[in-house]
Amino acid sequence: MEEMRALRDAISEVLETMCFMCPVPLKEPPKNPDPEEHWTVVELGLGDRGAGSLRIYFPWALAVEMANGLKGEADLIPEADEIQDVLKEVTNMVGGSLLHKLDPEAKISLQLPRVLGDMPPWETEGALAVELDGRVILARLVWNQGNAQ
Amino acid sequence: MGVHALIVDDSAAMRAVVKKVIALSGADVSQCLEASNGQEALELLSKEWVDVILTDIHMPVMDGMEFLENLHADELLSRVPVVLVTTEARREFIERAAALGARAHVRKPFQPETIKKVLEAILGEEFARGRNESTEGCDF
Repeated sequence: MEEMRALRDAISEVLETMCFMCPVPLKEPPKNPDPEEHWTVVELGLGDRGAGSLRIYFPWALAVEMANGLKGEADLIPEADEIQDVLKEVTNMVGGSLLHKLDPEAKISLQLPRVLGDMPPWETEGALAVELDGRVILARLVWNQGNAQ
Repeated sequence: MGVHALIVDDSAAMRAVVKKVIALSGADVSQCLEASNGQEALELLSKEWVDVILTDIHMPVMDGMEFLENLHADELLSRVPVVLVTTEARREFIERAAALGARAHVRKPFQPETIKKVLEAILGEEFARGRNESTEGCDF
């Protein structure tokens, strides 16, 4: 599916370029993500007319590494609001990169990303999963192609 | 060389990244200013002069386009070169930004080298520290 391939490539591009991390795409998401894992979810609206939305579920421990990677720091423990800031920016860049791939005419807008809170991915079917350091990031894309025209 | 840059982005992490990229280019960033939206940036610019502005587009309070319109309307501030550093790629926005005086567009995510080349092209050889590289990768 074109959208999922574009999403996988967008996540890889952002994490490799900005956080110096190399995610490995999984063939399918885990059916039962680790219940002990602390997850934070960020949502990004795509388009003014509901062209779609992107939700990314970040394991908190990995988010700490991403924050350090983005800022070029090592082994620091960032504050929670700093980590949320990084997760919003990463989601924003994934959304921008995704639109760049799906919407070459560049007609679709990005909304401001927002942290939905701490919640596990209850339903993983249809989500994209990538693995980093033994942890999994899940991304769920809703793409209404008709509204994107 | 000291660069009097103003970095405008609602993400503190992204401001830190851009500042680090400028520092890695060999410039002294001790006089870099930061603002989290266009309104804060205009307040800073009422008190301080800068050599270059690097701004995001999507920001709360005052977004990058409104910020650019304010700069464009001011005789003095319209002379400060502006670089867009943003996920925004819609042609109408980029063309409008160029019409309002933006000199370059760097799409996030970016390679550090891209921002470095843009700043070299805008600020000249003093910033480049003797390097004379092309501006390949700049959109304008």
